[in-house]
Amino acid sequence: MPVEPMRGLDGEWDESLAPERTQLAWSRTGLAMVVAVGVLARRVYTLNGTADIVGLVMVVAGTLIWMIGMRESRRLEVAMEPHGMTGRLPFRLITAGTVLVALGGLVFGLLVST
Amino acid sequence: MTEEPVGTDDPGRQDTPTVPQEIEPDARFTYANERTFLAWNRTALALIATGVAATQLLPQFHVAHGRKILGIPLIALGALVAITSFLQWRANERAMRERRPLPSSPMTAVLSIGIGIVSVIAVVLVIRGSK
Repeated sequence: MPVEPMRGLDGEWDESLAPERTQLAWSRTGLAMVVAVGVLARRVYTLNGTADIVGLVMVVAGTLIWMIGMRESRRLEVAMEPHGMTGRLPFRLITAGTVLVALGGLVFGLLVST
Repeated sequence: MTEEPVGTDDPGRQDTPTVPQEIEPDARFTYANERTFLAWNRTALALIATGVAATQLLPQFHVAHGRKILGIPLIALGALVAITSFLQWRANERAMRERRPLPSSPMTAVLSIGIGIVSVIAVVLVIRGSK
């Protein structure tokens, strides 16, 4: 059964707050990615003395990558073709990033942990 | 907008189109599918971060390789969840466009059983004690 599109007060197509909720979901995912990278970085670089700088730089770099990803996903969303599928690049990137973090965790877990 | 067919040059033609007939789904459903993917991905990241923390930050258990036994399954489960979340998002997107029922996924059960098993392992390790 076809769904009647939601209309705003002016009768135009209204997506309600779905885009905003979705942007926030991307934001939470980006933050979760930064935290996961931070946990890994914490192990790679013991944070004391000058090594603090290395850890901070890694977290800042992760945050910057996240912000660029957010902007890119928004750009692709706006540029989405009327009948094309949503741009897959952000989905592929975040999936690949998560799998990479998992591989890093596996390597450190198997090699370093006892 | 939601009823407009694509994939045929002439909407009035009744014969079988050469490509699967697709429709532009309600944007709210597309967004909901996207948020579901992201929620699964955050779950994957949480599993991985917890697994890494278990292998690296916990004190050693009396059980040999206790931290690995606890952490590695969590990280592996996180990787599995990340990959399947993308595949499920893509399958849902296609199903909505081809007006088919959404495909089911075993990942809810897999995740629940996986976390249940890890919880049992954690209880055993905690009971045996740490060094």
